[in-house]
Amino acid sequence: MTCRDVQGRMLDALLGEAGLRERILLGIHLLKCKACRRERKQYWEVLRMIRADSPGPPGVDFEGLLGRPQKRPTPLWIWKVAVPVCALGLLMLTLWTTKPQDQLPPSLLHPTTVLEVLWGLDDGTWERVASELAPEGNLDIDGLLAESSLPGYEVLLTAVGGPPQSSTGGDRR
Amino acid sequence: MKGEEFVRRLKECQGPLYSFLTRLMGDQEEAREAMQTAILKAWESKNGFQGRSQFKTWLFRIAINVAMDMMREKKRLSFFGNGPPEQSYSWDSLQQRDERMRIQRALEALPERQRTALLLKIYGGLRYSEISKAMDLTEGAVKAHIHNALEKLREVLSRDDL
Repeated sequence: MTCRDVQGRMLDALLGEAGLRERILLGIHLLKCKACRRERKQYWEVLRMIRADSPGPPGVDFEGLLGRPQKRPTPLWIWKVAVPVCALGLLMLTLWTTKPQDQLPPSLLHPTTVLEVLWGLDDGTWERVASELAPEGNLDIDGLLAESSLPGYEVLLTAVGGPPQSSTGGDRR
Repeated sequence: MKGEEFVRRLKECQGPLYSFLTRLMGDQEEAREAMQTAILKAWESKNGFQGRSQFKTWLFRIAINVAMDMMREKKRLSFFGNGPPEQSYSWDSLQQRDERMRIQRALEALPERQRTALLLKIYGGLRYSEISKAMDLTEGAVKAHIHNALEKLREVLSRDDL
């Protein structure tokens, strides 16, 4: 992905419109490119400033406005009984139906967790992660991607020291 | 759509709708007035809501039209000498007020469609596809408006910091 490709996709990602794969590829580019990280920081700051001022709820009486009678609230004791009973029922159902081997292995949680965390980092932390990945400044992510038949995010996961996934297709070299 | 269902969905949307209108119109009282007018209009036509789009998208579309009409009327009246509109803000600290005024000025300098699309995204929480239905634009046009708006804001706000 070039810097030119990155800009529009970066905004999509900041606005919650980019899929996981796109965010992964963006993340990999941002690890390498300081200029794009700087740009991302500026957009992040703009969005932070805009979002910072969110007016409180307007306090509109909808029923009064629409000329409808207010509903009587549900008596509190019903909630005090119903909520614990439902929670207990759900817990029992979960324990009954979940077997240890049905749980996702921890490694499958890594890609999303790692990359979501990376994506949410501020500029300084990105720099630190990048320098930890390549202390001598010679991380060759393009080379890693070219050499490996693993999907992009598994390469990144390997690079950050997580367990490699078994490839879904192709042989590992 | 039944009345209870309408009110329930309305309550889910009220926060984002009010935030959007406040930023769009730059005034909390006017935003409240626009919101009430939009709700009444939506209530009157609730039986015409056929579920082809999301309720939120439909409501925002009505609210946009109401807000635009009010803003045009205000502009017309100010042209005839009723004086410039007063901005009413309710912020705590001077620094916060300064920052918000910078943002508000920068947003008001944007072309109308860019501002509306951006505010629908950020305050309304709508997806590109929903914004395209609310504003009667293609998704590509919505994306372009939002990206251009953010680019302009970044330039203006970065320049102010120099």
